Amino acid sequence: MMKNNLDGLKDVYGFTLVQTLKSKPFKTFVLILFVIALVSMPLIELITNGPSRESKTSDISKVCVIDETGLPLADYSSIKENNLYKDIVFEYTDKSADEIENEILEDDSGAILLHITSDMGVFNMRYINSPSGKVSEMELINLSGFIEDIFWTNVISNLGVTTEQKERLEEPIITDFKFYTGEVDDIEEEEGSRFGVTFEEYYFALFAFVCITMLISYGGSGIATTIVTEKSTKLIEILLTRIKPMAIIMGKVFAMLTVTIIQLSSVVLGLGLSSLIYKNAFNSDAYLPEFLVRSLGSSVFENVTLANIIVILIMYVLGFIFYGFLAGLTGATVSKIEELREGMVVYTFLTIIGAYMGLALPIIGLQGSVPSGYAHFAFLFPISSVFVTPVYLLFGKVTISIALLAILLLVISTILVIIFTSKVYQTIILHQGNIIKFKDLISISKTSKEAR
Amino acid sequence: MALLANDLTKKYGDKTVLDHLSFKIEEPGVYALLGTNGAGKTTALRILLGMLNFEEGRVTWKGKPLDPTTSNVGYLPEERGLYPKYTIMDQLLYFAKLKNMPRKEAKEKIAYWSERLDVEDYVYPSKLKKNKKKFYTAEQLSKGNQQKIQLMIALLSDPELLILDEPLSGLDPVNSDLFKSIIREEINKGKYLIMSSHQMPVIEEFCEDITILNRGKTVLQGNLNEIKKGYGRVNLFLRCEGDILPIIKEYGLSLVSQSPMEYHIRVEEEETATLLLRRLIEEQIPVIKFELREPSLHEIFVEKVGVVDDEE
Repeated sequence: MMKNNLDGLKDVYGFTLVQTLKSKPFKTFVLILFVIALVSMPLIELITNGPSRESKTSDISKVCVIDETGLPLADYSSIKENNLYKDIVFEYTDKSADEIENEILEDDSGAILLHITSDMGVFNMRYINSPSGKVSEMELINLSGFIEDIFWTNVISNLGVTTEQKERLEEPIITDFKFYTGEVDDIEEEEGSRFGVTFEEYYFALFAFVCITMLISYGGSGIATTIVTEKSTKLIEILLTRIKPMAIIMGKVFAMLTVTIIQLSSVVLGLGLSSLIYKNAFNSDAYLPEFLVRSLGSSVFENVTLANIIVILIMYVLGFIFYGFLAGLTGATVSKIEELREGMVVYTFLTIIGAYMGLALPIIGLQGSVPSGYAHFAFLFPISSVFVTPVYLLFGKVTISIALLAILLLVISTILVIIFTSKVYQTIILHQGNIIKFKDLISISKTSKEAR
Repeated sequence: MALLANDLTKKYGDKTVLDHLSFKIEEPGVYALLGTNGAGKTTALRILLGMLNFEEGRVTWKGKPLDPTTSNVGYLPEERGLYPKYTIMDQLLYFAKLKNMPRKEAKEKIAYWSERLDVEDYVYPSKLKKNKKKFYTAEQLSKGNQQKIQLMIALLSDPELLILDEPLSGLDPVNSDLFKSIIREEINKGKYLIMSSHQMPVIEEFCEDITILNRGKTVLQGNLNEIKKGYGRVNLFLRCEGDILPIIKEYGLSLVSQSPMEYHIRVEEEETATLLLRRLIEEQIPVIKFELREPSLHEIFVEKVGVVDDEE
């Protein structure tokens, strides 16, 4: 009975996975990732709001308000509903601004002055704090946002505008031109504006690219290292008497894929715990710090649906397998572990090209528009699709049909890489000597046949 | 017939590295593949083990194409290594699992071979303070001990066919004797062994049938005893009191070597040696040693490989 080409894959998978999980570099790496993720939320909160936030209430004790606008006075007490500001006292005063300013300058209890004036159709809100240093600038800026909101609501409501009407009034006006010149580029320009990104999306895309590139590079490097270890120690000769070569490389690719998913999960778990810590430590209603929500914007989160997550996971798995086989192939072209970096030039080059092709989209997109042809090429081209398509699917800028087409192309490319690997792997894995060049791989693939 | 290698030919481009090699193993015992470096021994073994594709020929084991992944074949490669960072026990269990051995059976075999090869200290973790255990990794073992672990990997599944490529190279005399005793045990168990070695005395000690390869071609093949008989008893080892060089010259014999104690003379036929002995007795030269024997494998090997090289 001839052995199936993939018999033993499970054993290789289990052994590679367990040994990688037991290794010190993996444990250290995951621990670092987990700790970073765990402290991230409280850290962001502390950095953005300062250490005073540890007290869970603002250091601002009193706001002395001088309102010289002539409008009915606003009621700021609703700010106290926010736990952070629950102890703040708002006090209107008839004293002069200079008088209060002098009092504030000598105060060290956390009182501040808010001086509201109206001049030439502009409302001015001026804040003055004590030089004692008790109240930080960031605290003032954060509070000003709430005060401004209440003040404006008060202005509007005094004009007889309802809350709903106010919301409509606050809707932004976006002006767009569809200006035809008769040139062919017109249509592309119109289409390309779909791929423009906001600053929030840009930063999110950068973060996502770094994560995907890091995971694929880490996995690829792990696959290549174990393959060249088996080759340089001649263990491969023993393995080949027990198992077919395709089962060896495939087992390693799947094992490292699992390793990167475990790494990713540790980050997600860390972030989840971090959110819980943030929620409890800062007595907040939200799971994410205000800074994060404000920075990333709602557009990043609104496409997090189950279907999109499944498509993204499939793309990641396929992309990893595609790059994993390339890594295994390039790892097998060298005979010594010292030559691995040199041997993996092609793999590294492809990864960088793919990542940069993806990275170019948000960079160009910041200008407002990306050539539609380039965007679609990057979404569909198997080298770049794994880096960019999942991110733009989350932005809602890639339709599900484009994502499915990208998956199909990735499947075809992965199958081609696997077929090519099966043709050359057994020959090159036994080769000892100089690094095998790409053109040599091509000629081997033309002449090779299955050894058994 | 157990193993049949028929007409095996392997080429790299225009270069033929194995040229129509054929041999068969009919009975349990050790078959030797000999040759100089680059003669094609390892290539032949890799073809037998299905690692390399080849242009012509076929390999059958018990009448069916040999597939080491399904047949119970053990292999000790010439250049040896283990996973440097992994524990010895993990590696042994992994290789046993790849041979579809149940874990319990694998552990029993590991226990047996660890004791037999005296590597228990490295296979099983030693207890340290606070219930901590120290596991040995391959990189912490000496070369000889790594070699023992590799032999253990080859033997774990109790293979029917055992292929050993230079099994004794790099071993100290004590471990060399240990390996030899294990090889002898395997022969006694009725196993089939194929051995490649440069150590001719080892081959003479174990092997019945041999193939000598030179530059991919078979230059000599057959039963070692028959081959030697074919050469006849042409080596005369002689120790006498007194100078016998003039007599040796008189008979036109070729002196292979001379030490203070002994002459090594090459004779064309046994009768010449008898004539020489008769002459020494007539001359009343005391003869202490008179030994007439077949050529050693070493001599046959050097002669065969040298002749072919000269012809080329």
